Order: sequence, then C-alpha cells, then structure tokens
Amino acid sequence: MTSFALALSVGALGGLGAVTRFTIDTQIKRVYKAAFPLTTLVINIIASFLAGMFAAMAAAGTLAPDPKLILATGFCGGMSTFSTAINEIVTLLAKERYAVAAGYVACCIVVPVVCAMLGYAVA
Amino acid sequence: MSISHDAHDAPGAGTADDAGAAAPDTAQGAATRPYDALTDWGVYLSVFVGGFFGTLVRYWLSVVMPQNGADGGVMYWGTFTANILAAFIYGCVAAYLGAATWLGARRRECTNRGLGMGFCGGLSTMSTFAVEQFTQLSSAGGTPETGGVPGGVAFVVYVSVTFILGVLLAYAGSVLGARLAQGHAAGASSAGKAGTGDSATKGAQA
Repeated sequence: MTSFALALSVGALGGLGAVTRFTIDTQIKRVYKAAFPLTTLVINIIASFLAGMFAAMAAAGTLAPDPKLILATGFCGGMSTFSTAINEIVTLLAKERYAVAAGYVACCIVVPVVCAMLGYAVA
Repeated sequence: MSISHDAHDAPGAGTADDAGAAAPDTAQGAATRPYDALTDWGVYLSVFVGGFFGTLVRYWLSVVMPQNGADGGVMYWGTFTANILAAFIYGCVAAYLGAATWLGARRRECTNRGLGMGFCGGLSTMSTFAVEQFTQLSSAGGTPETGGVPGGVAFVVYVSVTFILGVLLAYAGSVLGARLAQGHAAGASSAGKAGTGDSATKGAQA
C-alpha cells in the first residue's frame, strides 16, 4: 500500500470511528441522563478491547502491519477519546461533583487498560 | 466555569435527539422542524470530516515523535501530544461555542460536533493509550545497568502526566474560549454603536 493510500485509509477509518462514537453516544444519552459519563466509558471500553485484540493479532502475525494500523490507529483511535473524558472530568469538577469525578478518573485509568489486556488475551 | 458545563450540555444530545425523533422523512416533520433533517446528515458529516483530520494528525504525531514509553523509556510523546492538544482544543471550542450566542443553533451544533467530537475525538485516543499502558506494565523496562526506567515506573509517570496536564490544559482551554467569546461579543456590540464613532469605548472594551 502506498503511504498516501495508507494515510487516507487510516484517516477514513478514524472518521468512521468518530461517527460510531457519535452514534453510540447519542443513542445512550437518549435514555441515560445521570452525571456519570457512562457513554464515553462504554465507547472507550469497546475501542480499547478491540485495540488489545488487534495488538495480539499483529504480534502473532495474523494481522499485517498496514491493516493493523488502519484498524488500531485509525478506527479504534478515532472511536476512542481522551479529550471528551478529560473535559467531562473538568465539567464534573466545575459542578462540584467531586465524588463522581474521582470515580470517573479512577475508571478512566483502570478500565481501558484492563479491557486492552482482555482483548489481547482472547485474540 | 458555568460556561464550560453549559457548552458541554447545550448543543448536546438534545438537538440531535429531536432530529432523530422528528422522522425527517415525513412532510409534517420537515414542515414543523425544517432544519432538523439537515442537521442530521450535516452533523454526521462534520463528525466524519473532523475525525478524519484529527486521526491523521494523531497518526503523523505518532510517526514523527518518539514513542518509546516502554523498554527503558517513559513517554509515548506522539500519543501524549495528541491527547493533550485535543483536550485543550476541546475545552476551548466547547467554552467558546457555549457563549457564542450570535451563532445559529445548527451552526453551533455542527461546529461543536465537528471540532469537538470529530476532530478532538479523532486526535485524542484512549485505546492506543490503553495498549501503551499495557505494554509498559508488561515490559521490564530499564535496569540500573542500562540506565532505563522500569516499566511500572514508566506507567505511573506516563498516566499521571497525561491526566494531570490533560485536565490543566482543558481548563486553560475553556478559560481561553470564554475570553475569546467575550471579546467577540464585546467587539460586536461596540461595532453596533459605531454610528457614534465612539472608538474610545471600543478600545476600552477590547
């Protein structure tokens, strides 16, 4: 794959990942109104799990470098988000929901890496 | 600080929800809420385009900046830079748009989704970050002989620095965004009074 085609594919899958995130976020928020940012966490859980899987497949040689890049850096990277999570933390702190903020920070630190490990293990 | 959370809640799920529920295909739905049908695809497109460019920038950063956070190193500079930058921009955009009452609702929605959810969401990543953390935890890292940093230490430093700087920069971004919006509003209202040629007032407000 030419580096231009590769970059284009990574970007396109990133865009798709972002749209997927937007869709899931909108759907969950229709029924879920609590302060804890569950939508972002769910999205990051899925993306981190997939990224762990792709990492294992790449390490095992069942996924070539280019497709791995497109799927992991592109799709998973586009679907997952750090900026939304951080700004949700700032918003919670601004609303003085300190307990929720602390819980959410703890989740953001622990949950994604655990999901990546699980994805890696099951692949 | 209230601006920050207003921006987060405001062009939020509300408008997109109504757009989805309005069944834009029906003539009645289109007649009563003429912009919602367009908002639907416009928002999706904004998110896609934003995500496309955000992801490309993140990819580029991961290639040009050192990414040796394990095996003796500490930071994945590419991922870190992308994440911190995205946190700052998102904070700025959200605060600015929250106060940008001179823009129409649809414009704000598309911009917020495109720049925030799209570009910043694509620029930042939690999945790559998670795999990097996993790599750090499972790597022995450096030893006293090689002079590198143990994997566990690298993990603690990388995660702490990323989150602390992320929150600080997001807050700084929101302050900047609010100031920019205030400045723009002040400039606009002075321009409205420009008939009196009162440039002194404009200067004082700016």
